[in-house]
Amino acid sequence: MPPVSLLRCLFALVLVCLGGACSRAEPGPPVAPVSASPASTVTGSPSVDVTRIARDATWAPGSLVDHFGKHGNEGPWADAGAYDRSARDTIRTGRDFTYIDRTANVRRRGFYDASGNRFTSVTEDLRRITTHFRPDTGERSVVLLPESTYRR
Amino acid sequence: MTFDRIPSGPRTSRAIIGHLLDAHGVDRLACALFLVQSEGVTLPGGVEAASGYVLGRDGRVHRWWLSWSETANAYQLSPWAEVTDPVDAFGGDAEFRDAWSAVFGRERD
Repeated sequence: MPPVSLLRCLFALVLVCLGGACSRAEPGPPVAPVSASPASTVTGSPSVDVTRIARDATWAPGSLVDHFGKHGNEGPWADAGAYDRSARDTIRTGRDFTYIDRTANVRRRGFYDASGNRFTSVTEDLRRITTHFRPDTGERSVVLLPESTYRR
Repeated sequence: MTFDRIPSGPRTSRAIIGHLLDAHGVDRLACALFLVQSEGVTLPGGVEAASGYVLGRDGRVHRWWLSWSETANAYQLSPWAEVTDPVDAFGGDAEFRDAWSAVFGRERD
């Protein structure tokens, strides 16, 4: 007999799937499409000035606090400042690549530091840091991202 | 039926986010998400945690995080918080400008 929480989860999933299917062909609110910038292409990931990105990219309002709150326990980050420095260090030292974010369905630029298993993502225009965390499955996770240009 | 038989993926995630936005009073058919990011954490049901922002028809912007409530045994948008002065905060973001166009049908002035 499955636990009640499992049954409730299954029920919730059925409800949202039915609701989404009834309301529109593509369930959920639209994610605004973003035109490809000259700085990157679908098939490649031209080199970028990682020093500039690490220095100038910013977290959107409230985003750093939220991300530290959710991912802060994954690494040796005492506070949001240390977490932010780790995100920027990953940009400087990690291998850069592009991929399609699964939920957003937009292209992102990723940076992966294999030695520390650290991942940072920024928007295609390189203005915003969108996340930083340590993937559960390490390097494999960035290889398997949709349209990932990451090469071992 | 087990978890690994449940259809999951971005469509499911966006459907869940849409329903939760409705619960927060944001019409999911008249809003647009931007700066959405998959967060590499798998929630019950195989749905991936995600974060982002939503621009509503009233011009307000909220930041959200798709997560799982252990107490309610349900998906939730938590944290959920309004961003003050969103045009000033996001005016330089291409994704916000596109969200604005999607909601209001024109470029932001």
